[in-house]
Amino acid sequence: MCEYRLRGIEGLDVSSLEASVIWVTEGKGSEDIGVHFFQRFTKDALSRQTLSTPKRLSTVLPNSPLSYSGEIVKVRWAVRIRMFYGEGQEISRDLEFGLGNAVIPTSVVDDEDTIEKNQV
Amino acid sequence: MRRKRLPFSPFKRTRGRFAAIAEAIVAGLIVLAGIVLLAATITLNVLLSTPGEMYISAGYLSLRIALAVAMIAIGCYYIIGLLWKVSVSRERREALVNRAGEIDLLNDFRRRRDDLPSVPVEPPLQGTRFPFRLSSSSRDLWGLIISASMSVMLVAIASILVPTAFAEAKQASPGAIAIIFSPLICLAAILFLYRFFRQLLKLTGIGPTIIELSHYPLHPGSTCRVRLFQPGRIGLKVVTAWLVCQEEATFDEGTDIRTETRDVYRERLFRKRSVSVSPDAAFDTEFEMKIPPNAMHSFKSANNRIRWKIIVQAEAKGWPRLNRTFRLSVYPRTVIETRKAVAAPNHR
Repeated sequence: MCEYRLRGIEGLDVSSLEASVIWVTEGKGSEDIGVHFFQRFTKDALSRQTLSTPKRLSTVLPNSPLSYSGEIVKVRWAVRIRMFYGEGQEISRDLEFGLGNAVIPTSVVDDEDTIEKNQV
Repeated sequence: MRRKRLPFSPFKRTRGRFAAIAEAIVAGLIVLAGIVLLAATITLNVLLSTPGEMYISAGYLSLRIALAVAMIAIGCYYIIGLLWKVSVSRERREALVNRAGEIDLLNDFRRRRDDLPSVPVEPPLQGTRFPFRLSSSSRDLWGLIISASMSVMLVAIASILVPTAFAEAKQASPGAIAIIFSPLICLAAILFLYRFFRQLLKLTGIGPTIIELSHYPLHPGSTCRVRLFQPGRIGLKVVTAWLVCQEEATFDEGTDIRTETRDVYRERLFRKRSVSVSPDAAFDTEFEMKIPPNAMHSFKSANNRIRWKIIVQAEAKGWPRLNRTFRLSVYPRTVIETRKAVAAPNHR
């Protein structure tokens, strides 16, 4: 569950608001994105009062992909709030969170004799 | 049933070891001779025939073409048969018999794929000693097919170009194109033929590698027994098995699309020197494998991948190095924690 609130938006003509739970890849490769949850509020659903009140989103996170910070591939999870206002302007903010505790394991290079003794 | 070996036949073991290799070479030479004959027959007939008279009579031409086609067909038939013989093991035949069980297994893996988005599923086959057998990467076979195709194409071109070059060289003002290109095409044909025979020998001399697992799919922290089975005809200097986690990233660089891979984890699972392998006694061993706890699971998106694989490397004196890859699926554990991290502003 996540709670968010818009502040400092007085005087802005907000046309829509989007809230999503996403994972994105970073690193050497081109960015990939996976949208797990998406919610959109149109102008009709938004009033001055509802804009400033805290909003909650709730979703069951999937089992994959886990957050990961590899050497050339990284996966990060975030709640992204995007607000459209004025004439085609927008602002977005990500709240990152970690899913799981995956890390790069330390490579093991055992002594050769130990390995050969271990065999059946 | 085990074959009875006569005590006074000192060459029998050697003959058995190299019989398939010799067959492969002979079959390859038959195909090559057929291609040269076919190309030469057609070229000579096209170049040297006059409007009124054919250089080779119709009956003799048909006979030569039929002979060339037969040679190509027989050679290809032998090569395919040989590859089938060396690549299909007893284990695989038994697995094919238990096909019904395998289908159930695949359905189970398809269901799991829907539950785990972004985790690539590498469905296993059915093993004999252990329940799961991993599929080997088919890179070797594709390499052989590409080399064979390129060899056939280049030999055919060379068969046409070389007689043309000789014919032009005899003229008072010879054309340069055929004379210049003939040696280059011949050189390329020789290189591809060398590559083709090298890969053919690698496939026929060193048999298929079989990896079976006691548990599958695997999770970070899980342990399983691995069976390594290596039939073949030649003794190996050393056999090594590795567990590897590889990251792969695809990105645009200017107008090119590039892919970079990096091994972020590598553990030697097994190594043995002086491995005796013969047609009667394959190398068969077991060892333990543990996926490190807290390791990342297998992952696949449009431009990024994380792969787990077992790599089997083997070296034999005077043979190209064997390098076979078996992909694994490592699934995430089902109980997952979430934790808070920092907020990142992102203005546009």
